[in-house]
Amino acid sequence: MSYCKVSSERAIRVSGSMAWFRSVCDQNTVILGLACSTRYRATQSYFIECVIPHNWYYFSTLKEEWRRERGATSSITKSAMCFSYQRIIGMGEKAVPFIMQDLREHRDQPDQWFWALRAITGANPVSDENRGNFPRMAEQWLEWNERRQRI
Amino acid sequence: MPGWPASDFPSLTPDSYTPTSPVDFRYNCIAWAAGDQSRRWWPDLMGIGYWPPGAPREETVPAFVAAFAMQGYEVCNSGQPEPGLEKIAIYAVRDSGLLAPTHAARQLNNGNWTSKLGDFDDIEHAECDSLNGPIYGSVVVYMRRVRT
Repeated sequence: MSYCKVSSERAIRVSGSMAWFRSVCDQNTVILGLACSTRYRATQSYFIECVIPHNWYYFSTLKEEWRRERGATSSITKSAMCFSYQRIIGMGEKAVPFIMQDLREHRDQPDQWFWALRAITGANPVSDENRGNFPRMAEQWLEWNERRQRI
Repeated sequence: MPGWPASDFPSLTPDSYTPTSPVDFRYNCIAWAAGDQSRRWWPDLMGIGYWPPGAPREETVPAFVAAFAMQGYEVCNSGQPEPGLEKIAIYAVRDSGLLAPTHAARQLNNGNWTSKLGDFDDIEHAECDSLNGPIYGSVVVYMRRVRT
């Protein structure tokens, strides 16, 4: 992550004295930032920018879209068939570290990442007796990932 | 404010339900109706969800009926409360001409129903019909068993 001033042309939304902005720089990075000024005037505003990996931004955006898209469905299948979830699967191996991070951060109540993990990696480290038990499934996938990284 | 999209449940007005527990990702509506708060029940072909061994692992109404039959339920005619009996309601939506199961609700002692709405809250609702809509469709089967 790095911080610097950027020009005001990148501001995409203005609210009161602050402006959020987003700029896709290239294939690898996205800039998110907050412009701060006591009185918003483009020529005098200072911008703080945060350069983040493009893949993370893409994954996070799709994850939020997926949560909206699936609504109140209880179906694991319908949830996995959502367009945004399919696009996460389409990210392939690039999505796996972000999925693993999400599983680590929500070990007690993991989200439905197991379909995507199976589709992307072709692996199935979950034992039959743990099917449907998402916290245990998350643990088994995280252990599988650790083993894979050691190889 | 509920977390679910209002358009998912057009009949679910604020005065027609009471939230009874917070959001919980560990179980889903089918598990909740079956009294299991530790797993998600679903007969997906990828093998992600739990499904009672012996019940067909397919997303059809007969497969859901079979899963609940293995919990001691039998098909009955209505959701009207009957003394000493516990009922469940299986919902389905018509998808490409076929009935696709979507949800299950369980009847409480007081005659009301309890439902887990997707990844959102558990709620108590007086009428099964209040969950009718584009996501859950409507009740297609009622089942009952002796209340323990």
